[in-house]
Amino acid sequence: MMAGMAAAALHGPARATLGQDDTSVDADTAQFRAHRFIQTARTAAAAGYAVHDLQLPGGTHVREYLSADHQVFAVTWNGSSIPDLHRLLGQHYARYEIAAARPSAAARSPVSLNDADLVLHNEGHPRAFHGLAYLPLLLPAGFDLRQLR
Amino acid sequence: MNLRDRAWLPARLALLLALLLVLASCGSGGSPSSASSGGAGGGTVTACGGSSSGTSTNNIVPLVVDGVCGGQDQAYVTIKLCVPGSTTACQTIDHVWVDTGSSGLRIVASVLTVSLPASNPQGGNIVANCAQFVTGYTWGAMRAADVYIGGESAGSVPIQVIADAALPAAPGSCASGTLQSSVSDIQANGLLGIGLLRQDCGAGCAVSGINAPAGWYYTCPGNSCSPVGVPVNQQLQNVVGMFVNDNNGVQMQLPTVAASGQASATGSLIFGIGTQANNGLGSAMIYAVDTNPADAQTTYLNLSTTYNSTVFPQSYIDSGSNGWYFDDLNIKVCGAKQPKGFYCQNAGPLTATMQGFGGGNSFPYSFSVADASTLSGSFAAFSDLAGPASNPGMIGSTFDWGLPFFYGRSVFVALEGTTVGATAGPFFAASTP
Repeated sequence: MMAGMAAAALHGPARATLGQDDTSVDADTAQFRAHRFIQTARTAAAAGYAVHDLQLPGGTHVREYLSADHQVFAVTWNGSSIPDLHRLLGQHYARYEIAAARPSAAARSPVSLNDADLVLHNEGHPRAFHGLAYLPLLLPAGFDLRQLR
Repeated sequence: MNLRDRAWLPARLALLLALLLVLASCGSGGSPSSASSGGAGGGTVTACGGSSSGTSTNNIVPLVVDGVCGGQDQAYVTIKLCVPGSTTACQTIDHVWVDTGSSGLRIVASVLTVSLPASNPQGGNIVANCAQFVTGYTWGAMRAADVYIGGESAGSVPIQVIADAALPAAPGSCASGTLQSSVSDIQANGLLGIGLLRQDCGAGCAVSGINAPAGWYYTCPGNSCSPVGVPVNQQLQNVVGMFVNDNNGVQMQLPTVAASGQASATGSLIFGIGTQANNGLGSAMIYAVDTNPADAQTTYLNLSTTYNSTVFPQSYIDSGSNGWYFDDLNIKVCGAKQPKGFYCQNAGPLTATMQGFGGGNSFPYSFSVADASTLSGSFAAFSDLAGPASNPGMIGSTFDWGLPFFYGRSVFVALEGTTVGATAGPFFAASTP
């Protein structure tokens, strides 16, 4: 059962992105109807990674960070609306929903999760949101988290 | 009853988890105003409240903080809706939550007893509206109503009917977090967004075709929803901006409440700023906000706050937040079996300095924090309810001046595209101290 699910995730239609390979960025670009710009990191200290900057209709920015082996290890977003987090976070979305639903959250207080294998944050108010999610275990060696923006 | 004994809901769109506890209190303060046919079955609260208090005159309506709908530090007004053009197909709705942090009128479908027409359907399809908040969202249909609040009126206002039966479920690009679809979810019969802006979205949503942005407006032919562009004047409108008179902003006045709270508090929502003898700014201090939409990822619509020598650049005044939300690592956050999301230690007096965006006027406001675990659960109005803005142990960038800030002062919200005296909106203003 578990093996079957993993196979489906690998070979099924590329849907979500965090933790998946770069074909999922192509899918996101199409699904979000976004314009995409690719930047390759020039940070010498990092092992090398690429940033795919998706500009969505309405001006929301989504940035997907890919490691040298083509894995999405981080996503960030900012803009007037929250992008489709089901798609961006993929299998990790359920944990976002749990973090958002915690009774301690006033709806305008940030949603945060700081687990060993997943860090996410979302805050703001209507017309101005920003957030990020990354997989600490997939970060390139030497990656500076301040690069996430 | 003490707070440990009941669901204590940090407001701004509270949580399904506490739904069952809330059901017991929502509507207990009066007979339900409508056990309507709104699609809600037996056992579901279709509306809360049922009676409005005080008298409305001219441009002033009573602003009530009470626990009838289950919330704490939620301020409500009574409004009247009519089918556009009708003077008889009308409904009075009490306990509509006043929110300076959003724009537009939203009514829960189960509350409605009048049948409102679709507002500007596109291609024969009713237009759906999505409202995203950080932890959740509302989803509803765009319908039109004539709106009366006190002596003010606006015709054919596009409003959102939350959980409208005409729509399928929200698509993924809207639905992040927890769905807020019922009276019990929002602890109100609706939400009256009287914030800084004239529409919920504005020009960014007027783009049609493939470039229509996700997260705002949709049409759902065949029950499959896709983003759709909507002209600015057909979007969800801040009702104040559509009033015939007194349409440049609002003032909220609430009385001082006792330390540790009281059962209820009644003040006034006053329409217009400087348009009549009763609604001038007086000596209130004007606080500018960042008006550049390009700053959406940082400080758009925000002012600044300095607290404990730390600057919080993403601060705002929000009657839709039910506490002071800010980060102070020296104040103990409530633990297990205590009110979640609040501080559980008395602290103060504390000082937070509000300052306009870009370094304008500033003023140091004094306040206190109460141990939320000791507050009475039968009270609804607290000036000292507070909690962290970030995860415990973290210092974020936001100081949220929620409803407790409003007690004992006048708070003004001036709309974009207006001028008050020599000052262009949008801006906030507040009396001192």
